[in-house]
This record gives sequence, structure tokens and C-alpha cells, in this order.
Amino acid sequence: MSSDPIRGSGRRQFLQHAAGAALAPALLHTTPALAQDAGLIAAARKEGKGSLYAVTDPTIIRAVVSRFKEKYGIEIEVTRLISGALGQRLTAEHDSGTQVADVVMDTDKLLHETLAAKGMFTPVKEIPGLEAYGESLRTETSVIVSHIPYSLVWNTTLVKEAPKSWEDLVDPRWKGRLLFIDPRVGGSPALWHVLMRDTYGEAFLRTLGQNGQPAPSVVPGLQRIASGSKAIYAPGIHQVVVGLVAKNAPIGEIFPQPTISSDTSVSLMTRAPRPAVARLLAHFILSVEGQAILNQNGFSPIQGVPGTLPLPRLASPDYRTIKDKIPGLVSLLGLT
Amino acid sequence: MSAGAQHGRHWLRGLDPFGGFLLAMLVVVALFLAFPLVTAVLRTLADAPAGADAIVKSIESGALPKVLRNTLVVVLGGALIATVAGSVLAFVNERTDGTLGAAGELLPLAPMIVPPIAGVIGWAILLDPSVGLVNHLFRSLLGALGVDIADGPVDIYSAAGLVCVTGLYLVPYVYLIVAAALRGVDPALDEASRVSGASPLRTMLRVTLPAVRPALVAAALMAVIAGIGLFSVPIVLGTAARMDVISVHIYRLFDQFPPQTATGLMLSAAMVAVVQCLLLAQRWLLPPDRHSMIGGRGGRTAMIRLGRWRRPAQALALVYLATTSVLPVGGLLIVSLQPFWTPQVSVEQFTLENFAFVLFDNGPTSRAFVTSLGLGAATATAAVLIAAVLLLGAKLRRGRTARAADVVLALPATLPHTVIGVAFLITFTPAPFKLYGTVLILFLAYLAMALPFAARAAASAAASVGADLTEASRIAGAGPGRTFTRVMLPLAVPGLMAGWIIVFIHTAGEVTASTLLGGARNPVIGRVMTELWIFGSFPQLAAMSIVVTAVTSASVAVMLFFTRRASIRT
Repeated sequence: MSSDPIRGSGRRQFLQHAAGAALAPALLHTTPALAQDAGLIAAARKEGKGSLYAVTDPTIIRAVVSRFKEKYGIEIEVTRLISGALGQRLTAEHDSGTQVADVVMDTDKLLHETLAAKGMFTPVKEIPGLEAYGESLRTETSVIVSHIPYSLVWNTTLVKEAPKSWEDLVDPRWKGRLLFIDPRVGGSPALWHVLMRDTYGEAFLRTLGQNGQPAPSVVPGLQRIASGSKAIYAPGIHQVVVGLVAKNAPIGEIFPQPTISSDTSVSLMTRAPRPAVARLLAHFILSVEGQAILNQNGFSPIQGVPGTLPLPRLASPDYRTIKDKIPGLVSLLGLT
Repeated sequence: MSAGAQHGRHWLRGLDPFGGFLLAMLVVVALFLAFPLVTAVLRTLADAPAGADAIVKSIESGALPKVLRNTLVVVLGGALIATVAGSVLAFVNERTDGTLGAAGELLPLAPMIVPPIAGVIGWAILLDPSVGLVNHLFRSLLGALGVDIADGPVDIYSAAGLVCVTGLYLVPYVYLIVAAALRGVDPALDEASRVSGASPLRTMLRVTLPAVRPALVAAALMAVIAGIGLFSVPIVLGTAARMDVISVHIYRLFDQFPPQTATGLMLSAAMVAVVQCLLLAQRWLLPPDRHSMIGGRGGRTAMIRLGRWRRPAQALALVYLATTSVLPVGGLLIVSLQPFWTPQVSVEQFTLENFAFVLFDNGPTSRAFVTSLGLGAATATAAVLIAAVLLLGAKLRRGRTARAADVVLALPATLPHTVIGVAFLITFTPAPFKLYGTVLILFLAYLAMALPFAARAAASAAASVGADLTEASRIAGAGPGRTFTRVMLPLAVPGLMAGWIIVFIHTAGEVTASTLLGGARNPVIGRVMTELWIFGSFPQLAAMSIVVTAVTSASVAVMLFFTRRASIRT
């Protein structure tokens, strides 16, 4: 853990972020001037409009690609997909040789491994600027560009005293007022349930199931907390919470320990129709400027990005066996 | 064997050019439907043992039986509600002086015109047990009576909530088919019943509705079929109600990675078998041509006078219209003007930001409108034409072609849209087709989904065209082709129009297959709506659905206007 200077949280890191913010204007002006960058930019311009498949919040992703266009004059078409559909599409494109996607941003590690085994992704070492990203942040074919730690969320009108730990979820006070994510919706939500079971025991999930109601997806779940339909919810996604708070929704949020992060990774397609655009876009996303847009008020994996927050400590349960655990979770929660 | 061959030859010998055309068309349609499914099955054959294993495990653990029980409860409950409500509304609006006129005709379609997912969220906004606007109203009323409750009284996130909302969503299927049939019934019988002193209720139950029994059964069946395939209601309400139904269950199989395609396809095959059994049962229960039809005699304008029942009937229809369309649209409208969904409605906080977002900022929206409405119209026209030619044409010939057409067109009926999406993706992506990412692949998938709905409408329309007119045409020397285009088609127009409208609305708002097949280059409404549900916010989704509702309602109103004029002229 200590060998990885990027993870971890605390006052010192916060100060570093603050320093980064102060330095940022200077940094922004110095990034693109290298000679090999000029070659890449020229090649990318020749290739034309690129294509990005992403599971990321569309508002944020739009800000990233519009700045990219401003800077390099290259337009990026964004297709937003949930993980299941993303896998289907990439497989279909790869198998048929009708490749559309140049770059992919996804949170599903298992999906990435399966597709990488088919040779769909090219090594990320081709991305200029990768050096800033530590070993723990990359695999051969992917690099983490955002941490999305799961949070505990509540309606501040209904919950007067801010909760402190995940255990507050099963407080009898919130019986009938509790909302939680259905573990069947995907790998990361199910991992959160596994973390809860491993940390607090099976009784925790049983009570969660008895006291609460399952939500079919994070965004609709958070909308119900904002409206007061339910009082307390887990696990929340910080970016969505920030969006609601900005609109004065009565919402509170903390990151109890331990938590997990649904990390967004960038990968380049082997058969990308526009390989130079792919590398240039990935380069931009990895740059401090790209990170500042992508992780505004969120969590960047590198330090010194203005406007980002210090990362809470993260646990990393085994995601490879998660599929087999879902039926057990479903039965503990009493969902069938 | 030889007898069979002889029979076959005999059958082919009797084939005139029109019959040959029908047969060729039927074969093409059958291939079009079977090809993607067979391809998908072949591609996943290697996983079949694992798929079968997964199903056995799921049965043993009790998960799958529970899903089937849930499906049975939701679909039968919903279809029952829809059949009763849809038939009564159709009767009042079509056969009596309690009609609400054009408004009455448009509004029963409203639960369908509000796009899926958004419509259900509209209900959740009204009937959420804690913050639902209608529940709030109920609580205030109860409070005035001295009864204090913290939550409810209605909980939309429950089994009952799921069944009722499903029922509401199935009403249009019933209404359109029954109304079209009623429009074609000779009113002399109704009049005779009223003249002999029977009440309007008795006339409806004993004379009018029995006269359109085939349409009633076709409508109930359509409600069951549509209910099995319905996805938006159970995905939004079913999770919280802990009622997983088969469409959601199969969706989950495909939505994970790696997708459990083999398991999903096997379950889908079982669903297809169930629908085919339903259709066989329908044919067994109702031999063809044993019911009233549009004869060559009699006027078509006489209405049953309801007398003192007129006002209550109109009130009933109005209450229905209010609860099914005005309220959820109103709920969505309020939320679409809010920065975030909150029951504290304050006009000062109202904003047009969400409309601005979906119309101007959210890149794909405007293109999605053009693509979806265009595809809706194209799919509806193609599906209804195919179904009309096959089923009406087959009626002229009776016998095997009709039966075969019925079976073939119903084939995709209960295939979950996810399955159709996956099958078309797997099949039409590689060379020689290379249709991936095109509007054409969406059109083909939509067409496959639309054929059963078009076929039900065409079958009902075909049943209402009496044999006396077609025989008269034939005796007068017209060939089958001419009889078809000059006699049958014009008479069937109202029924076919009903099918066109159902398919149009369905296609324009289709969600699940569009998620797989639509993309940045061919965005469609259903996909944009799902994105807003998963990534956006309720207010954005509400704003988008208000716009979609306005546009589809306008399109349907235009269609109905022309249909009415066409049917009055004939």
C-alpha cells in the first residue's frame, strides 16, 4: 500500500491537490509541445472524426470531448453504453471486422479481461504520457483514469444526524426507509454487497434485505433519496450526488471505510479505424488538463489535478469470482 | 405418405398467380424471421449444455419457478383488467351515444403514447407510498376524516401496483382491436335488443360483445402476448416489488458479460412455444367464420341510446381517461419543470432547463426523433402491409395458407426484444450483410417485432369482412387479386389502421433492442430515454417524454383523423 504513492487519503494529499490547483495554469500551457506529439496530432487530424464508447456520465464525457475538439480540431462521437451492451457490441464489431470504436472507457474489469484475451485491445504503453500512471493503475491493455468510490447517501430533511458508517444503514430507525442497489445489476454493485457481507457478516445483508427496498439502478435510486421517497441509500456514486447537490437537492454523502471503487479504465482498440486519434484522445484523457475535466469534484488517480478530491482508502475484493456469488447475495437479501 | 404427397400436389395444382404470390411472400417472411434466430442458436450451440445446466440449476433453486409464477400473476392479472376495461370503453365509445368523440378515441391510447419507462415513472411520481402526489392528496383527505397514516394508502412498488399498471398498459391493445370490430358490426341486433326492452348493460353483455367474440378473444390474447413481452413496467416497478418476471429475467441473462446467450435463447424458445399453444387454443375455441361480420346490408351509424346511463358512462370514461393519461402526464410535466424530483412543488423553482437539455444540449435527441418517427412509420407500414396481404389474402383461399401465415407471423410475439436484438446483431453484423450501426438493421429488427401485432390486427380485420361480399365479387367475375384490392382491403382499413398505430407507437419508443442496435450514428428515442434513466435524471427523462408524447400524439391524431374519414366514406 505504502509503495503506491497515489492511493490513500489525508490532509497532506489535500494540500498537494491545492498546490496542484495553484500550479495548474502553468502546467496546462506546457503539455502538448513535444516533437512526437506534433507528429501524432498531424496523423490524428488526417484520420478525422473518432469514436469513443463510454459508460461514463454523459455530461462529463461531453465536456472532455468538446475540450479535445477545441484543442486539436478533432471531433469525437460518443456512444454511451452499459457494460452488458458494451461487451455485446465490441464482440460483434471485432468478430465481423466492422470496427467502429477507437477508444473504450469502461468500469467492468472482468469484461475487459475477457475481451483482452481475444486480442481486442492494444498495449497502453503506446499512449504518450502514460509514465505519470503507476504500475498499480494499469494492466497491459488498460489504464485507470477515474476512481469512483462508493458512498453512503441520505436525505438531509429526513435524516437529521449524519450517518458515520455502513452499519447505520441497518439501524432499525430506517426500517422501511432504506434503499439499496440490487446486486443483479452488475459486477461493481455486487462487489459492494460482498464487501458488506465480508466486513459485517451475513446478518447485515439479511437485515438490509428485510429493512430496505432494492433499487434497479443507481441514478433512479438517488432520485428517490432526493425526493424523500426513501431516507437513506447505498451505494451512491459521487458524480451523481454532486449533480443533485448542485441543484439544491437535500442530500448528504460520506465515504465510510472500507469502501470499493468502481474504477473507469481507458483502452485502445487493436483494430481501431483511427489509431492515431485513439492514442491522442487517450493521451488527452491522461493529461492533467483532461483529468481536471473528467474528475472535476471527483477522484483522479494521479496527483496534482486541480479541482479533484482526496481518495478514501479502498478495499479490493476479488472481482473474478463475483458472478458465482450473486445467487448467494440475492438469497441473503431475500430478493427472490 | 403417397396420400400426403398427392394432397400436396393437389394443393399446388390449385395455385393461381395470386396464390403463388402469397405463398412466395409467406416463405420470404418465414425465412426472414427464422434466419437470425437459427443463426443465433447455431452460434451458441457449443454453450447449450452449460445453458441447459444453468436452467436446471435455476429450477432446482426455485428461482425460475418463482419467476414463472410472478409472470403468470402479472400477465393474467394485467390482461384481465385490460380486457374488461378496454372492451367496456370500446363499447361506450363506439356503439353508444355516451361517446366522447375524437377525444375518446385518442385518449385510451394515452398509456401507450407516453413512452415506456417514463410513463411508469409518471405513475411512481403519483403513487410513491411516501412522496407520491396522489397519495399525498389521499392522506390529506383521510386526515380531514380523522384518519392519520404516515405512508400510502397506495403502494405502487407492490405486486398489486405492478399488476394494475401492467393492466393499464395493456388496455390500448384490447381497445383498438375491439373498437375496430365493433365499428364493423351490424347495429340492427343492438337496436332489436334495446327495442325489446333490454338495458344498455344487458345489450352490451348479451348482444354487442358476444357478436365480436373473436375480436374479444384476439384482444385478450394480444394483451397476454404483449404482457409477457412487456419490459418497462416490471423493470421499473418489479425490482422494488421483488417480482422478477420472465422478460426482466431474460434481459438480465443478456445484460451481463459474458452474456448467458444460450440460456436466454432456450428460455425464449420456451416462451415461443407457449404463445403458439395460446394461438392453437384460440383456433380450437373459435372456429373461423362463426361470428358476425361486415355484411353487404345495413347502415353503420346507428348508436345505442343509453338514456339515464349516458352521463354515468361518460363520467366513467372520463375518470378512466383522467387516471390513465392526464394524471401521469401531469405528474411528468411537473417533474420536467423541477431541477430535481421533489414533492415540494413550488412554481418559483420551475425551470425549462430540462427541456433545453434534452432538446438542444443532449446531442443525439433531435436526430433520434427523426430516426425513430421515420422508422416507426416505415415499420408500421411494412408490417401492416405484409400482415394484411398474407392474412386477408389467405382468407380468400382459406385452408393452409391462412393457418401457416398465422403461425409464421406470430413467431416473434413473445421473443423478448433483447433476444431479437441479440439475434439480429449476431446475424447481420458479419459479411455479407455488414449492417452493424445502420438504420437498416434497426428497421429489420423492428419489423420482426412488429409483425405479430400487425398480424393480430389484420386477423381481426379479416374476421370482420364477411364472405358474402368477397363471394359476390368473385361471382361478378373479379379475380382474387382484384377482390382483394377492391373489396377486402377497403373494408379492413379501420382494423388495419389500429394495427398501424400500435406498431408505430411501439416502434417509435422501443427500448431494449434499440439499446443493442442503435448507436451514435443511428440514435433512436428509446435508447436516449434509457440513457436518461440510467445516466441522467427523472426531470430530464420527464421532459424528454413530454416532448415524445406530444409528437407521437400528434402523429396518431392525424392518422385517426384520416382513418375516420376513410371509414366513413366506405
